[in-house]
Amino acid sequence: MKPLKLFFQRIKKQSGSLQMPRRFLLYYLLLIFLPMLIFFAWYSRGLVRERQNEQRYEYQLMLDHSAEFFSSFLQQSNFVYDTLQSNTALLNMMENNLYSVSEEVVTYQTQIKPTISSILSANSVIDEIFIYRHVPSQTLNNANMIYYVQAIGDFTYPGHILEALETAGSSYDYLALDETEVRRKDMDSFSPELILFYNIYGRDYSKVIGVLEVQLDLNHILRALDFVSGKNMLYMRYGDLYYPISFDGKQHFYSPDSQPQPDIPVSAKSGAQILTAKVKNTDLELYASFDLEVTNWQQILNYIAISFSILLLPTILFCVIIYRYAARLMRFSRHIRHSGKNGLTSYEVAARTDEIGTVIREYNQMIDSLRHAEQLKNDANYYALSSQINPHFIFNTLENVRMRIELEKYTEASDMLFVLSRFFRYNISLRRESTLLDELTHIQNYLQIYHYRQNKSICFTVDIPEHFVNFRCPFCILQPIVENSMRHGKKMEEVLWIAVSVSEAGELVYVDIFDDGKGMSGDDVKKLNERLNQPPSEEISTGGSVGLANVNERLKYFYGERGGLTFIKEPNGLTCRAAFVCTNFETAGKGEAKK
Amino acid sequence: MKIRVKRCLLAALALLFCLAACGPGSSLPVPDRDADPVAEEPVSLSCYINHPWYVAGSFQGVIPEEITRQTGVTLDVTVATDNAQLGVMIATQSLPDLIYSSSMLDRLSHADVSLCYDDLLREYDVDWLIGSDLRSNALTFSSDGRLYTVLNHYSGTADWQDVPGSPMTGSLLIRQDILDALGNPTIRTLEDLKAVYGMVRQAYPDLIPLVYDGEHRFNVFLNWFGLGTAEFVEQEDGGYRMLYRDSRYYEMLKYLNGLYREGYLQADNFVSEESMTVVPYRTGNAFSYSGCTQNSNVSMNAYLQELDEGYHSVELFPLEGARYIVSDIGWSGSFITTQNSDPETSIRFIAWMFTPEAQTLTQWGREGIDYTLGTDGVPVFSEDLLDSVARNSFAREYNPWFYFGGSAIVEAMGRYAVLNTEDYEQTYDAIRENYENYPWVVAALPTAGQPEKEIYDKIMSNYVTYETKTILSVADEEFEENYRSFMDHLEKSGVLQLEEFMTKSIKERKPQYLESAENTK
Repeated sequence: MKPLKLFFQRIKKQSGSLQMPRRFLLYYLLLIFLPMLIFFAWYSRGLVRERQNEQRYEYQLMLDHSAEFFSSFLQQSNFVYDTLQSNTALLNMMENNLYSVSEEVVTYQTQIKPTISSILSANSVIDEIFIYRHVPSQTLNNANMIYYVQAIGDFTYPGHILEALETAGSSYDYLALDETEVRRKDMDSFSPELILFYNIYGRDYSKVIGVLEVQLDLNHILRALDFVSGKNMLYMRYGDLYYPISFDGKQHFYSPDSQPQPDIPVSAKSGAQILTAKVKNTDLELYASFDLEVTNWQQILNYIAISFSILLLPTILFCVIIYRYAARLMRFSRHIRHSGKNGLTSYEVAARTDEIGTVIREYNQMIDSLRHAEQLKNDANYYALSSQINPHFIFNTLENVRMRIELEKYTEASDMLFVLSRFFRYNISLRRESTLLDELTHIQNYLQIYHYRQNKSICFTVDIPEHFVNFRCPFCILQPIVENSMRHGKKMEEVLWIAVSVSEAGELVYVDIFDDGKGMSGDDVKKLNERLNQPPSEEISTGGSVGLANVNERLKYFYGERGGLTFIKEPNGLTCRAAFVCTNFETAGKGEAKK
Repeated sequence: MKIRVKRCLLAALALLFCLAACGPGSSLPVPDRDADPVAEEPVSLSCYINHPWYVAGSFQGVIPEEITRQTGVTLDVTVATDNAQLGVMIATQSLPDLIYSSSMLDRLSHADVSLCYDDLLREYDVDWLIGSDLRSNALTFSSDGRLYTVLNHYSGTADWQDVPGSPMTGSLLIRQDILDALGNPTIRTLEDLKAVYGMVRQAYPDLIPLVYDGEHRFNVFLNWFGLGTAEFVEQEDGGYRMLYRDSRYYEMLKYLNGLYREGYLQADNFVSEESMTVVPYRTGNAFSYSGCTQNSNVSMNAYLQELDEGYHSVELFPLEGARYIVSDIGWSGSFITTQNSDPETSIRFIAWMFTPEAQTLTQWGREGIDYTLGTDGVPVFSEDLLDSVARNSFAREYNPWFYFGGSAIVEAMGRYAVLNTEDYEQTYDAIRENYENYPWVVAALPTAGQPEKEIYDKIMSNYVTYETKTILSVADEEFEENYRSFMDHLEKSGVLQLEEFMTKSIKERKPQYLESAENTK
């Protein structure tokens, strides 16, 4: 049981890994095709048995009919006997009742011989007729001359025939297969004979006056049989021997070369049958030894082959239909697998109303819902990120303003508040998008606030082509970079130079923010760039360079992988390059998201 | 995928269907000796031979094979068991393709039974110009004047003048070895013969002195009595009397009765089967055999010498006063029946049978192989053929029995060629010298539908019975009584009317034949 269980488990496991069409086909073969074949095999076994019974019945019927037909030929010998037994002239001659030789001769010529001749002419199955008289003629006794009438002393057949006729009855049949056994005119055309002997009685039936011999052409009878032997064998049993009857494809005949056999050889095949039919009023029996046209397994295999062919067409149609459905599912499945790598995307196919179409439609709706939810989440992050900037700056700036007021530097405080108000006005507008000009203005406000706060000089230059002035970009995207340059690049007691330049390369727009501060080593730049290219992490979000990580993440969100920050080591400082895609960033963001 | 689906569907349909599925020209070939004999399947024609004595029971042997090779025809032969069988066949319309018969010619020459030769020759454009004598002979039996057959073996008296053989006529075979043993007594007269029979009976009591052939019966005695076998005999007044009413016939009966009463002739012979009458002579149990010149004495000698090399059979030299008068308009005719399956092949086959090459082939064998022509026109047979004759296997091996268009002269020359000339030359010369054919007698016979025909048939069907009774009479009184009974029967049957008819009819037909014979000269 255990190995069987393991076997089924293995099949189940393997079938589980099969593609759906193959699995369907396997299920079809196992659950429908194979059971149907088994059913047909079982059903055909019944059909075969029925067919074999029919065959057996047909053969038996043919054999019975042949025996009847055989018997009907024998009736002709009875007719001969009746005719001659009722021929008074013959009886008179055999009883020597004719008064003269000439009378006897004329009687023979006119009343006996014509009768015998007409019988021989009319019955092609009757080869010869001989009459053996118990009381010999006084004048007609030359056996060669009076051909049809012989003396009983010329009876050359085995003595037991006469004994049987005397004791057992009035007729006896004898099978003569050898030409030396019979007397006939034409030995060249000898055919095996079935000879029937009859007692001829006197006119008053008080005594037997002779014996009638009727030779029937056995092959003539056999040729007339309508039994179709084919591959089968027909035998004639006479006495204890079985005489094989040959068949030339059209007719039966007894070949003198055929040796009689003590038993019928039965084929070892399972379909071998022996049927028998007795020929009435004789010791003859017909035996048919035959093999059924087909054996059980042959017939069953034939039926199975036919069933297989019948099932083959619907199987192919089934496969085609299954494939058509499964192929849609497989393509959908493949799309989902690819979506795992590239992100979930809609599955665009012609709409259908069936179950698979419904699943695809629902899937697309689900994708749309997920994307919307993600958008909402991104928006929330964005606002949260934006808000992460504000507290540092506000606190420091307000503290500086308060200090200036304490020091009664009211003009500076006023200017600072003015700049700060512009800065915050822009900052708290919380727009989704802005322009490079607004962003640069915002940087300038920031630097000015920084100047007021730190009371230090910062050299800020901008190199921006005029057509990029209104280049649309995410809101508050450059200020964190400048803030970072100031935080990490500023050298003590030296004026920091911050230069902003804009360039383009194909679809990309680069905004380079250069500072001539402390810069970074090559390895540090490399490490920083690697970190920026990694997925957002808590470390980046919460540790140092929060602003840069935020900017990088937002750029990538809006512009995809092509967007983001890259640091470039300069001989006299460090450049932070922000990559934008030269399209509407809203559209670009969606487009990149698809990829 | 679509293509694959279509292919699969087609393959499936093909497989389905596959498994579901598991569930002679009439013209006669042109004779060509070099042609492959089996190149074309021969046309088989069923043929009924209305001669119960016929030896050939099948169309097999050297000559039939050559006939088939040359004509493309093979025959499925049935030989009559007796003379009554054909009548039954005609009555029941159980007819084969061809009937070959010498009797019942008038019944066969009828549109209900046979097809007209002239119609067939015209319809199938067969090139066969039937001679006037042959046509006239055959029309003798036709009630509607149409030609239904052509009789073979016809020859006029003049035809035999320069032929070394003998025409077919009654002949007596005797055992020369016994004659020699008896001192070779002279047999010139009937009484000499009777005396010899007596000597034979005395010396060989188990030997039957005389047996007669069922076909030719006592024709040889009719010849020796100067009567011949023509059924009507011209009288001094120019009228014709039936043979049986001629005084010479009476003398012959008397003579035969004497032989019977002396025990020289057995009663058994009168009930004998035609094919069995020859058995006593052939088996050495008879001294003489009344048959005809065409009964091959060669084969008889072969049988006898198988028994004892000293046995020797010869044809008895004609006795004094012998006249070999026959009325012969031919022997047998081939009839193409109305139930013939292939009339065109049949008429072409029969037309070919009457060609000279067919006549020699059917009776002599293949020229250049089985015989070559000698200087006198007599065939010189090959050693193989002669050997088969000597071994008595000629009939079986060569089977020269299908001479449907045969010539009596060709046959006679063929038979003569295998004989020892010294034994037969004088005998046959004597026969020919006394041979006369009166074809007009048979030609003048009444035909079906004429009242005299019924008279003739009645007499012919009964004469044997009366003849038998007369010959088998055991006393002179009984003989005379039986003879008178015979004559009474003839008269009651209307023989006088028949003789009157024949006298008139012969006077009409005789000039035609004489004129034809004159033209032939």
